[in-house]
Amino acid sequence: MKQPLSESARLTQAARTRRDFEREALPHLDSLYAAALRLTRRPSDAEDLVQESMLKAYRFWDGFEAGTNARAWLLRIVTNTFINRHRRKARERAVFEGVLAGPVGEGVMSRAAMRGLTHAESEADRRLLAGEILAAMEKLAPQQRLMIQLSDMEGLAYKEIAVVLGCPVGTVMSGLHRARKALQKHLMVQAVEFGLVEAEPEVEGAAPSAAVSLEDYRRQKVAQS
Amino acid sequence: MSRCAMVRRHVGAYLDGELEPASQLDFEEHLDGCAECQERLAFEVAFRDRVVEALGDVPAPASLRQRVLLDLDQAEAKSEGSTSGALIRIWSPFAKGDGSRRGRFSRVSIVAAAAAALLLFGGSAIGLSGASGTGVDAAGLGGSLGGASLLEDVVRLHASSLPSDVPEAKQESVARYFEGKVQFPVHPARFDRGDVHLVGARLSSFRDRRAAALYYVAGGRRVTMVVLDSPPPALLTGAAHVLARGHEIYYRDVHGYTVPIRRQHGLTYVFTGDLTRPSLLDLVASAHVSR
Repeated sequence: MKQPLSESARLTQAARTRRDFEREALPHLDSLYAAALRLTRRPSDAEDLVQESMLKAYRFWDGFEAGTNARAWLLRIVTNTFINRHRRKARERAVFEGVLAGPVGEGVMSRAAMRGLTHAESEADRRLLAGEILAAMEKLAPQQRLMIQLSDMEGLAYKEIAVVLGCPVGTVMSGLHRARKALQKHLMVQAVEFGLVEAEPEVEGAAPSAAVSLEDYRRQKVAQS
Repeated sequence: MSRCAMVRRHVGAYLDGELEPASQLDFEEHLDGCAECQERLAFEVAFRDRVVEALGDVPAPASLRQRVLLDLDQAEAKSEGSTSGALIRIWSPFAKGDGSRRGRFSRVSIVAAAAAALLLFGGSAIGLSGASGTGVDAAGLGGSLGGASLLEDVVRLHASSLPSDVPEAKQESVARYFEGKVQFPVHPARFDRGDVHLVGARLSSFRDRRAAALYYVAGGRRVTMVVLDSPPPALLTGAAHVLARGHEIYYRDVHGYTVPIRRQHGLTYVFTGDLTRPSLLDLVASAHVSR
């Protein structure tokens, strides 16, 4: 699909944009689709979201700084498009904002529970566990699912995730912590239901709403030493 | 908050390599002497592995790629139209070679494209009002003379899933619909499998030839069959070829779609669909395409 070099001089501006876009943006289609699927949960909605986002990205390709992270830039467009689409749905909006504002629980899991959530003896148990994890993901807010996707699956740095979500790096750190804790909590409930793990009372820590940040880490450490 | 609680809070950031060096040293120092936190860390690592396993890779479907490419075609045609006056540029990945050829076949005037759209769609509301319709078929007109561009057009037709022209998708009514509209008899293909159904038909046009497009659903997935009487001579050049169920089937891959071609009794049948290559080839081999 590449144009021969000798022809590049004759390429019009639009054709050049098209060529650059296909080279820089199109290879990220899988990442964008996977992220969109985490946001929308439905494959058909995810396809629509990516299609709309790609067209936007193409129209605003001038705004992309060559040499910077195209994937993060494109993921940001997907995220913004998703948020704008759901802006009118007040409930969705509240969920989105709640993710960053809510307190972090400080539950401590027992050894048996930790084992139950991660060790699958048989192939059947393994599949059951994988299914439970997907079901628990469904219960998270869209932004939490996206954070986990971007960090665990796409391997994005917090800095890049911050670009995608348009928030400070510190917010990513605490947001991811919350998302993972919430995922484990939902999973725990399901695991107990399915008999993978025995029910146990959750031990709540002393400071359930403390922030997760480096600042916090340093301060706490100074206070203790 | 205890040191252990601090570690629990930051174990995610630690695993992500996001703690700054000084914090990381503290973290590891505590970890060295605390069995409980070591267990916690091991759990977080194992849990993350399970999450990665459960989420898995979800590749974008081929149809999405196709839809995006179509959007780009239209956006590009539009922007060229506004920057270079009465010209729109038609993009074709197969159009290559010297500038003069590009000049001849890659550019058609807007007037010609509009007239072509009128002709192609026979004045149907979709073709005239929808920007997508115009873009799709103008591309067909502007493509190079090679067989590849025709296959591309078939893929575009399939991907754009334009509405059916016939109200009732029965063999006889579809055959009758095409009488007098194309210069050959159209007998919708029949299949032995019970899960393949004719669901629609549309008069279409590839370059300057009229063709019959038939829509099927096979096992819940869309399949398009296009019948032509005089395909471009280069249609089969470079195509792969298999012998299945006693039929010679040629196929090429176009924009992520497999496009099988069958010839019978002087007519050419071009297929494509949302099926894997083996199942599409098998479906094509099993088609009864003559009366």
